Amino acid sequence: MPGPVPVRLSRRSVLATGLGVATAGALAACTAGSSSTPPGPTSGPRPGADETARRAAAATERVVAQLATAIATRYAADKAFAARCQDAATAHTAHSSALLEGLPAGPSTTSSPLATGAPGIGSTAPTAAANLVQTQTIAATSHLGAMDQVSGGLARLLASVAASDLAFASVLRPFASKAGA
Amino acid sequence: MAVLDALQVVLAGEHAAVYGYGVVGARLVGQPDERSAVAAYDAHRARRAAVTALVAKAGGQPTPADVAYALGGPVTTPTQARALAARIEQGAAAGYGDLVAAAGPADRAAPAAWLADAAIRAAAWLGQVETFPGLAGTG
Repeated sequence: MPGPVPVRLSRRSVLATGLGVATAGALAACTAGSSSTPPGPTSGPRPGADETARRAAAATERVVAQLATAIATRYAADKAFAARCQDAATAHTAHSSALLEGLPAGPSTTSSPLATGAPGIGSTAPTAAANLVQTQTIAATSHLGAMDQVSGGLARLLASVAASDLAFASVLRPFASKAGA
Repeated sequence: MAVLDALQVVLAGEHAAVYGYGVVGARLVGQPDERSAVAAYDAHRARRAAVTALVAKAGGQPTPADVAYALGGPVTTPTQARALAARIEQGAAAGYGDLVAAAGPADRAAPAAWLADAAIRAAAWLGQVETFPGLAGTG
């Protein structure tokens, strides 16, 4: 999604200071590429802890995706709300897939905070939005809490997924305002 | 990437963000989201100070701000300003993601929170949410 370097050092400023080359490189390095194709976890030899955390986080994201899909279907008549929920469902599904990438098929985990299921859909659109926001927030909190037990590469992926979850919660929150969320 | 290097990347990004939000804020005066731009500017200034301290604490010489930064195109309208703000947050997010990966387990919470902050702001500016914020760099 992001295009080229968002705020790149200008040639003028590099020449003016004589110090900008490394910074320019750093900025370019940290903004190049596409955010739509996440890399897998890369650093730190902690396969046991990493695999457990990845399966748990993936299970959590799957539950959130299912809730978002169900809400989008139930409230399809509210096009703006349903579209937001469908976008979220797509992203949560992508999160789950990225977390499981490269792992062999394995048993489903029970360590997800949502292992027993997400809140119900909700009998009104605002209630449904509030439930989804709450579920996304729980998921993000869980991912952030798992970061201190895994490799650096997986920690980055978990932080990214958590950030995306919280951003979805932020854009869905206005739909929940009538429910007091 | 070493922690100090990752911190320096974040610091360089904060310098750029503060500069960029100065432009964004000027273009959004009188707009409904003027306050959002001011809040973002203040947040990045505060973070720049915090990261400067972290670099020094890690034994590094904090990366100085540059004289000027290219903005990736003209920023003469509110729409262009909002697009720049989104790019600023996306660029900063990449640095935060790299810092999460480089930091020890006990030091990951702060950059992860910054990453979430950037993702939420970018979503507000863009009107849509990124699926994997902060994973563009992976350096």
